[in-house]
Amino acid sequence: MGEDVQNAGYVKDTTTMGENVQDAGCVKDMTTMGEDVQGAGSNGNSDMDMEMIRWLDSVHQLLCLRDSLSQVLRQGWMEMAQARYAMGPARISQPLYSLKPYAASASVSVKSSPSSGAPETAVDQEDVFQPTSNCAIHFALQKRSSDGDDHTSNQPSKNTLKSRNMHHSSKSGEQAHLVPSDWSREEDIAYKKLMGDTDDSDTDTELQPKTSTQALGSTKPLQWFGGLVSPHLRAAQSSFESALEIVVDIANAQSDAVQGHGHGDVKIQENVGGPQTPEQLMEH
Amino acid sequence: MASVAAQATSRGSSLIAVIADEDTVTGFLLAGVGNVDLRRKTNYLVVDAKTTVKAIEDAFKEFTTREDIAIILISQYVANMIRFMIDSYKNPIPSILEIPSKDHPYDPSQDSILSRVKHMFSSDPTGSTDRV
Repeated sequence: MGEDVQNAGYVKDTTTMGENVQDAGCVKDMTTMGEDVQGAGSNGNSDMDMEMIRWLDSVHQLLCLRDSLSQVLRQGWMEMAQARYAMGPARISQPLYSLKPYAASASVSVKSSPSSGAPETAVDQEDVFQPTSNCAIHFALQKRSSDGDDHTSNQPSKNTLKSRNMHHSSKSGEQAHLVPSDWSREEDIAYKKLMGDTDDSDTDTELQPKTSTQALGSTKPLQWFGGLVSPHLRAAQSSFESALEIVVDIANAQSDAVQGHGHGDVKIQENVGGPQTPEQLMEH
Repeated sequence: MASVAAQATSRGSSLIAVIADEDTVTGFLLAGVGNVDLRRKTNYLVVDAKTTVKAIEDAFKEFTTREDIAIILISQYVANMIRFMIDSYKNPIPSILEIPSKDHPYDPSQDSILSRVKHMFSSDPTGSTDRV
């Protein structure tokens, strides 16, 4: 700690703090603080340094989120164990899962946008949804409440949905949903009813066979385990709902970290003019 | 095929798949991620002592090829059983997230994604990591 770094070309560990980096080109972990990066050199190197710092920030955020996810999951498992102790082991088990068709009440929306610096890519005329590793991907959690409305943690853009081998299945005025194109017409109609007809979502919806295929509905998973469940099971549900939000944040942070890693490699190759590892670059 | 600037696209209402032990799957089903379609196909797989590696591989392949799944949650100890498949998986969507399980705490050194990130700082050019 408190060292003056005189030479470039090395990687330091996370716990060093208050250092002055007097030469450019060294890679440091993001927890170093109070540093002055001097002698930035060319603009290309300073851009790369900023890219590295952003990437390290995303990695740090990823590690923090993983830690909080572990804590929340641990709490959820403890509460589930307490519920199982109170209700009996057979009352909370896999055979009680409902296998009647139902739609997920928690889903994610995916937004893919070209990241800055990404080269222009040729796209098909069909304009399919095929995010590549150069795209910035953002996930947003969507929850369907009991009244059937969708609530999003981060509002996604309302762009037209495109996907390969999928077609739109939606009622007028409803949010478009994607279904596999090989579904029969009856399955398509039943799926539309699932997405559009959610009047009876307060109770565990029984299948109402209006056609040969049964209509889908939403379900309340707590009711799979009995009419009266332990409050510990409700607490476990709440914990796992929190864990779900953290999972979506981790997915975003992971996407940023992996994308930033790819950008770093690209920038290194652009600046040096050949495929080199960052360690080799620092030695120059 | 026209050469145009990439446009922002989005896909709504994608599912979250889960491959984990019973407690974890139960918890996430309580949170509302479960989905059963008209063909009785689910977006989750409960892994227990009787589950074979082949079944886990088949489930992983199925979830990664489904268009309506955006995130796959997989317990790390289950991911270790099919590590070769996860390491060779490079698509951004569906995104693979390794999560801890009740009996196996999360080990960052075994995570495929973090291993790629760690390789950036590794002094070992081969980027090898210790995995149990």
